[in-house]
Amino acid sequence: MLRPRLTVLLMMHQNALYKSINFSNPIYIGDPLNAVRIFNDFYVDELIFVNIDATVNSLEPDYRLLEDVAFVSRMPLCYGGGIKQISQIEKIIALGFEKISISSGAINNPKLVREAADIFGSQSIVGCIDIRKDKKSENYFVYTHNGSRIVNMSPIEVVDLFIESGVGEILVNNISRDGTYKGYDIGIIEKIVDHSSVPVTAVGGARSFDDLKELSETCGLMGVAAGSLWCFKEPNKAVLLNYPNPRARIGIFSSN
Amino acid sequence: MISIIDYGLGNVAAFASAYEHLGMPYEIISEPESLKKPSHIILPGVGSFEGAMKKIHNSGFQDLLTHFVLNKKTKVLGVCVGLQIMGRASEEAPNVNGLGWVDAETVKISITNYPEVTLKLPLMGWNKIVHQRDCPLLKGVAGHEFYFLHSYNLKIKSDEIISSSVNYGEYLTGSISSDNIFGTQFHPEKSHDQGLKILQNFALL
Repeated sequence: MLRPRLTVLLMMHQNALYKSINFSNPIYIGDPLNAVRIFNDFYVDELIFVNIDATVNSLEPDYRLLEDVAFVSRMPLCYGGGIKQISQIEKIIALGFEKISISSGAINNPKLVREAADIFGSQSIVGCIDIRKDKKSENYFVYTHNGSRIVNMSPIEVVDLFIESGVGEILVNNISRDGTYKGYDIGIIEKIVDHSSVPVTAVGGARSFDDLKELSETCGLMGVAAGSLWCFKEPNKAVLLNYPNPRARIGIFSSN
Repeated sequence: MISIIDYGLGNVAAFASAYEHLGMPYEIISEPESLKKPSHIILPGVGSFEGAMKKIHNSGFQDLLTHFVLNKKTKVLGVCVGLQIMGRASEEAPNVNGLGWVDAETVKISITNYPEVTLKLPLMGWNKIVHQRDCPLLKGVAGHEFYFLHSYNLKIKSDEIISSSVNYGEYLTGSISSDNIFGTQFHPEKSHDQGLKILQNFALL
C-alpha cells in the first residue's frame, strides 16, 4: 500500500541552493547538482525545487540548470517558480521533471491550470499556496511573490480555486514556520487536508522525525515535506545534507 | 540501441539520463524519419491520454510505431500514459482512440476509503509492486517500491499479460508484458536503483 511521501524542498536563489527563515535571510547551502547527487544516494522519495527569484524578478526558469538537475536525478522532481505559460511547463517536463508547481500564476490565471491539466494531466500540476498566520487576528492569509503580496482570498478559497481549475496536488508552504524549527502548524494543514480532494504536501517548521510522524499520523496519506531539517545538522549549526535511510523511514511512518 | 521517442509529451531526458548512467547506448528520436530499424523503443509519458494521442498522431509517429510494434515485433516499453495509450481507449477522453496494441481500456481509479485511511487521486508516491507472474522485465526487483503518479488505471481484458499489480484500495495494473510489448504504470526512470534495473532488463531483452 502507498505510504506518505517524505519530501525534500530546496530553494534556488542566484543559481545556488539557499535556505530561508520566514522567507527572508537566505543562507547559502551549496551547489544544486551536488545536493541532487547526495539525495540520490539517500534514495529520497521526491525533490521539489523552488526558484525564489523567478516570480519576483519576472525571470524565466533557468532551463540549463534544470536540465542539469534532472539529468543527475534518479528520483521524482517538481519545479516551482515563475511559471506563467504552457510552453514553460512543456519544456521543463521534457527536461525530466514530472510535476510543475504554480502559485501566483494559478491564482491570477486559473485558465493556465485548466489548460495545463488538459494537456499534461492533473497529476503533473501542483497548486502552491504560501500562507502566513496573522499574529493579532490569528487568521491565515495567502501570499504570493515570496510573501510580499497578499491575496484577497482565504486559504480554503484558494484550495477550492486550484482544485476547480484542475490541479492534482496542493503544496502548502507556511511562511510563519519556514526555517524556524518550531514544528509544523498542524491545525491549518489538517484543515486543508480534510478539505482537499487531491493529495496535499505540507512544508514549514519541521525540526525532528517526531514532527514528521505527528503530521502524518494526524493528517494521513500526504506529502510530509521539509527544507531546513534536511539541510542542517542542528538548528543554527553547520550545513549537512541528511535524510533518513529506508529503514528509518519505515519507522517514522510505521503507524500509517 | 534504445530509441526513446520524443513525440512532444514526456520526460524524455529522464530516460536518456538513466541509460547514460547505465552506460548503455540510446538515441532520442524526435522525427519519425530518424527511426530506422529500431531494436528497442521507449514510449515515455507525462501527460493526459488525449494530450498524448494528439501529439503522437500530429507528430507523425503513430502509424510508424504501430508498424514496428505489430508487424516487425520490435520490443517496446510504454511508461505511465505511454503504457495507457497502448490500449484501445480511455475514460479520460471518450472520443479519442488509443494505439490499440493491447486489448485494454484506461478507466478512472475508483476509490475505496477505509476507516483509518482516506485515499485520494491522483495516486502519488511509492508503492510496492506485487508480482503476478515471471517477466524478464521484473528480474531482480521483486517486492520493491516504485514511483507512481496517475489517476487512471489500464484495465486489461486478459489477466495473463499483467506481470505485476499494485494495491490502492483495489489492485491496479503495475506492469504488463505480452510478447514484444512491455509497459509500466510506475516510472522506472524515477525509481532509483530498482528503476534502473528495469530499464537495464529492457535493454538486455
